[in-house]
Amino acid sequence: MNDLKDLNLNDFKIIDTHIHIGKYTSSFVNSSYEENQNDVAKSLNFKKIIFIHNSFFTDLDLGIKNTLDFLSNNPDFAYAYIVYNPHYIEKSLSLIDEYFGSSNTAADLLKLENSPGKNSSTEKISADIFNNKNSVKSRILGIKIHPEDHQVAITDKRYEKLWEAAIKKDIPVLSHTWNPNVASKSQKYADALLFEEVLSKHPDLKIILGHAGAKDYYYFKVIEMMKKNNGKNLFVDIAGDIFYRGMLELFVRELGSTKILFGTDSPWADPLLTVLYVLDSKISVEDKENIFYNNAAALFNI
Amino acid sequence: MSPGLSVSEENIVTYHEHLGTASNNSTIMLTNTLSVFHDPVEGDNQIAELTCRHNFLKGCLVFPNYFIGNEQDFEKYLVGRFREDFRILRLYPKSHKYNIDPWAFKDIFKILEKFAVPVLISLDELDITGNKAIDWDLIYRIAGEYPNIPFILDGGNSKELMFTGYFYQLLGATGNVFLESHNLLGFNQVEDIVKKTNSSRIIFGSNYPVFPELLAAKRIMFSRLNTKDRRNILSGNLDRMISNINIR
Repeated sequence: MNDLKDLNLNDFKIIDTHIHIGKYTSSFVNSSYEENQNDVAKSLNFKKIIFIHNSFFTDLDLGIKNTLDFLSNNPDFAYAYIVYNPHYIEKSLSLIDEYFGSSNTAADLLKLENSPGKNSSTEKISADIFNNKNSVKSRILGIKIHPEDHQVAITDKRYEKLWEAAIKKDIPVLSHTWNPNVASKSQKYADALLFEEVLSKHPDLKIILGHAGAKDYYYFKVIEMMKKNNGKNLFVDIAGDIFYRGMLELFVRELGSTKILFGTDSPWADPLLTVLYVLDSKISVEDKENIFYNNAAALFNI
Repeated sequence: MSPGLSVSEENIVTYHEHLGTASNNSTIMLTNTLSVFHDPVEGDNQIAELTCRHNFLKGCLVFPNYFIGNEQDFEKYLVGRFREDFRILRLYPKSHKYNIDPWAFKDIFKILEKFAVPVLISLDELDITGNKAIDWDLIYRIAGEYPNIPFILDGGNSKELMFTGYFYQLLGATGNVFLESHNLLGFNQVEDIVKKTNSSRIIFGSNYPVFPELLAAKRIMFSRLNTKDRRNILSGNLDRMISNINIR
């Protein structure tokens, strides 16, 4: 009987940079990654995940609450994105300010310790709470946008404040991107090629093209765009049902493996599939290590 | 399926070797994209030549739409192709422009029912509007009226099997509907289907050469299922289905 041990997964450490946690009613998924994640993560040698909580797509407050809860319950393993919703710019920006501000530092703890009216017990409680929040906050690493779900094109001016904030605070932005020429017409808002215009105005952005701009022949166009923007911080992830034969090898050949991040898009693809896709690809061990772990560790400083 | 993704005979042999290495014993059910995009008869003649040369190959017969209106000649054609090692009939009602509603396709279904020939149909072919409106009800009605025909639903390029619970209802309400595995991509989806129904309802498919060679096979081989369930999916279910074909 085949066992995961036979895959020699311990040769590689893995960071999943694109994974979804939480319910999403318009998509029928029986199994929740949350319920099974320790089992799956351990079996596939995932060291870290960077997740998006699905409740963000309904409500930003609920999204951040659920994100913080999951982070608290999964120390040393889970990291998160917050979602920027272009229909709620002020609220989105306030979340960015709060979670990517300078307020969660030791300097602030010191201020708390020196504030008047404190006693030793409140000091300890405050410090503990602050430390815990500090630790959890520090594990929010990036911003996710979903132009298709929000039906706002990548080039729309409602993202301008996001780009400014992301550059100022040096935050990577993960965008859902997809082939616009598919049955679902709202995918046109998430056309990866629209980032060419964005990057021409904001060349210092760090952008991850989620799903590598999926699908079919569109990969060739995405590769061309990335080659044109070679000096920029433009990455792809391989999350989603995009397991085309030879595609990963093509991306590595044309762009180099340092531009590719491992992501599963779980639960909308089983993590085993994406791991197998990289493991069995005809690329070097070094390329696999870059894709599985090194690139994400460098980009997100984890 | 894009014609640009066809593979050579040499590739098929190599694929079989790799599959054999992974599984000790394998059969490949082959569909010719020429049959799908150009002419079913010409394409399936090529398959017949291949099945002659390689005993690990069996054919998926693409239904030629010129039998619409000439249904009386289809039985002879089907039996002839069975002798050339074709074992599954593929239907492309949307692409090849015919109606498989029971009232319209009854003469063909009667023949298939008589012989218990498995039918494979892609969800892309049941997407009546082109906007992911799959006609699940049609499959339910056909399966109900022809319980001796195993209907295998191939996810095609559609993501619908990942995003819908309709097929659970269809599996629950029928005994002769099955899911081809390549597009069961969701987290734990294969395991969940086995848990909610049983492993007899899943038929292995690779989607090679669109997918890499062994991706779909390894998904099952390294799944969170027991050995018996894995074996059912990888070969047992289809073996049983084919052994039930009543053409002598």
